[in-house]
Amino acid sequence: MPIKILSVDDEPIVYRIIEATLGIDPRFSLIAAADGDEAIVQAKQEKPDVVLLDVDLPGKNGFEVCKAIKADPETSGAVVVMLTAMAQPSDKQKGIDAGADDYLPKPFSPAVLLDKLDEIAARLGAPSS
Amino acid sequence: MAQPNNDEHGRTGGSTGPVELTVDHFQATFDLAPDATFGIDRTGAIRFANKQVAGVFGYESEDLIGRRIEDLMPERFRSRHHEHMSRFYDRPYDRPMGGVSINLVALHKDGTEFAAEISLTSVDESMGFLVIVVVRDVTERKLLEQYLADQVGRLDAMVRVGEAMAKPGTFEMNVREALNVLIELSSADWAVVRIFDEAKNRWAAAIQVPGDSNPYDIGPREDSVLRRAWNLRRTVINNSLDQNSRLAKHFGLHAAIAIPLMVGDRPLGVMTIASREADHFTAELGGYLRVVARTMGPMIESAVLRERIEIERAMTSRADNFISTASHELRTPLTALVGFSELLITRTVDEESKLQFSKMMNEESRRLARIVDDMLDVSRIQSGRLPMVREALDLGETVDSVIANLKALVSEHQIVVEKPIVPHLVWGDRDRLQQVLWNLVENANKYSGAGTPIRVTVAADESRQVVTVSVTDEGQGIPEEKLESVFEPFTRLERDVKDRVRGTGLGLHIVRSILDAHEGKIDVESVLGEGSTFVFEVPFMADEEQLYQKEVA
Repeated sequence: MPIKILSVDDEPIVYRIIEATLGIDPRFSLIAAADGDEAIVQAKQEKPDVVLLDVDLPGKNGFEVCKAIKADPETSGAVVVMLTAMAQPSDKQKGIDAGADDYLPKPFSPAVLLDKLDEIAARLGAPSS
Repeated sequence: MAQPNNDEHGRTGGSTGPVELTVDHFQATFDLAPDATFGIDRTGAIRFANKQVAGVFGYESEDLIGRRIEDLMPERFRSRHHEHMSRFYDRPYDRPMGGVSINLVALHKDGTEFAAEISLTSVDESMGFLVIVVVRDVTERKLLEQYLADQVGRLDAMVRVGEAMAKPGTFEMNVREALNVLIELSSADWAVVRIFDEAKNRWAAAIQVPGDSNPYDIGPREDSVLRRAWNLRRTVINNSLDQNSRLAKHFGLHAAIAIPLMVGDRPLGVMTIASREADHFTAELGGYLRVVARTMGPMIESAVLRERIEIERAMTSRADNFISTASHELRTPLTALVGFSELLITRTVDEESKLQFSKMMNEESRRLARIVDDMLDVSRIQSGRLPMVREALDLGETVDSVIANLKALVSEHQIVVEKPIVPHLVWGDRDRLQQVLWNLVENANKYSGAGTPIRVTVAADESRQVVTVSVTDEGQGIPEEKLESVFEPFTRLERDVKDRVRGTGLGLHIVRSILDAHEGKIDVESVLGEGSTFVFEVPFMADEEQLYQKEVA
C-alpha cells in the first residue's frame, strides 16, 4: 500500500510542485483539496497517511482543519505537516498548538519535502527508496 | 377711595407716644438721608419729599408735593401700580431695599428711565401719610453687575472653549463643541471653522455648527467674509450680508464675523460666526471673539498635528500589514520558481516535463512581476510619491475612451454607457482615473457570465458636488461578508482559483487609493447571484483649481 498524501492548498501550482516532486515514486499516492471544508471531508473519506496543509485557506483555515483532523479518532492518526507562507515563529507555535506534527515554510525545496516524506514513510514502515 | 381712619387692616387711631411727630420732623430727618425719600398717602399722592429727589428725579421737593407717585414711573407700569398699591394697603409690610430681585425702573423728570431700588415702610396714619418710599438710583451698579456677569461669562466660555479643544476626541468633535460654546456666548446661530491645508494647497473640509461637514465642499467663495478675513489677515464684520451670499441664501443668516485663526504671524484658517439678525456683531463682541480666536489658534494647530500623527500611525500600521500580507502573496509564485527550478537542476526530467515546468515558472514569474508592479503602485499612490498630473477632466469622455479600448477585451459582454450631459469637470489625473475605470470594467467582465450586459453610468450629484460613475454587472455577486474587504489588498473571490491567469488581488485596492488621492471615494453594492455595482465619485473642480487652470492656460 502506498502512503496516501492529501495536499490542501488553494493555489493549484503548489499541488503541481508536490506532484512533480513525488514523480512516479511508487511509495506515494497524492490527492488534493482546495479549501478547509473540502480538506476535512477528504480526510474522513480517504484516510490519508500524511496531510500537507496550507494555513491561509478559503473557508476554515489550516489551523482549524488541523484541529478537526486531530480531534476525530478516524483521522487523528494522519501526520499533519503545515506547509505555509506564514513563516513567523508565532505561526509555527500556532501549528504546534493545533496539533500539527511538522512544519515546512514556503518557498520550500522539493528535496527537503521529500526527505520529510521519506522519514514519515520509514516511521510508517514503508520500504525506503 | 376709603378714608384713612376707617381702614380695617390699616393702623387706626392717633399716636399715643409721648412725642408728637410732625411732617416737619420727617422732612428734617429725611433731608439728611442719602436716598430720595417720599411720603405718600392712601391715594398715592405725595405728601412729602426730601431734598435728594432733586438729584435722583430732577424735581425740587416742593414741586412734587401733591403729585401722584405714578408720575415717577414709566407710563407702562402705572396701571399695574395701582393694583400693587391697594394690595399693599390691604396688608402693609416693610419691604427693605435690596431684597427685591426684580429690575425696577423709575422715570426722571427729563423723561429718561433709570434702574431703581425701592424700599417701602408703612407708618402711622396720624402723620397724614401711610407709606415712606425710599428710592435709590442703581443704574451704575446694574451696569457694573452686568459688565461683571458678562466678563465672568466670557472667561467661563474661554475656559470651555479650551476644554473642548483639549479633549481626546477627534479634531472635528472638539472644534464643534468649541463652536457651540461661541454660538451660545455670542447669541449667534451658526459658526464654521475652515482650515487651509498647506500641504495640499486647498481648503480642508468645513466644520460647521449646526450641520454636518461636507467633505466635498469646494471651499469658501472668493467674495465671502471668510475669504476676505483670510486675504486681509484681520477680522471682518459684515452686519448686513448680501442676499446672494452663501450664508444668506442657504442658512438665512444676515450678519457675520470672520476672524483669522493664527499661530503667531502664521494663518491656519478662519472662524466665521453668523447670526440671523442683521447688525448683530458689535465692535465690542468682535473684540472679545478675536481674543478667543487668538487662544484657539495654537489649540487648533496642536489638534491638527495630533490628528495628523494619528493618521500617520494608522498608515504605518496599514503599511506594515500590507508588507506582511504582500510577502505572503509573493511566496506562492516563489515556491513555484524555487520548486520547479530545483527539480530541473537536480533531477533527470523528460523533455515534456521540462517544457511544462518551464512554462509554469514563466507564468509564475510574470505573476510575481505583476504583483510587484501593483505593490509599487499602491505604495507610491499611498505615500503621495506617484506624481499626479492634474487637469480639468470630463469623466464622460474618460469613460468613452476607456470603453473604446476595452471593447475588444470584453467582447463577451455588451457594454451599455448611460451618460447624460454632466456639465461639471473634475480636477484629476487622466491616466489614473482611466486606470480606475479599466479595473472596474475588467472586474465586471471577469466575474459575470458571457452575454450579460455591463452598465456604465456617469452622473452629477449637485447637492454633494460630486461626479459619480457606476459600473454594474449581472455576475455572481459578492458575498456580504466579503463586501467590507473587497478594497483591502489581496482580497479575492473564490472563482479566482480556477482562473488561468490570476489577478494580483490589488486591483480594487489601487482603485481606492487613486480615488483617495483625488479626495473621492468608492462604494460597492451587491446581491449574490444577481450582480454588483461599484460607484465611485470625484468632487467637482473647485474655484481655486479653476483659477489655477486659467493661469496655466
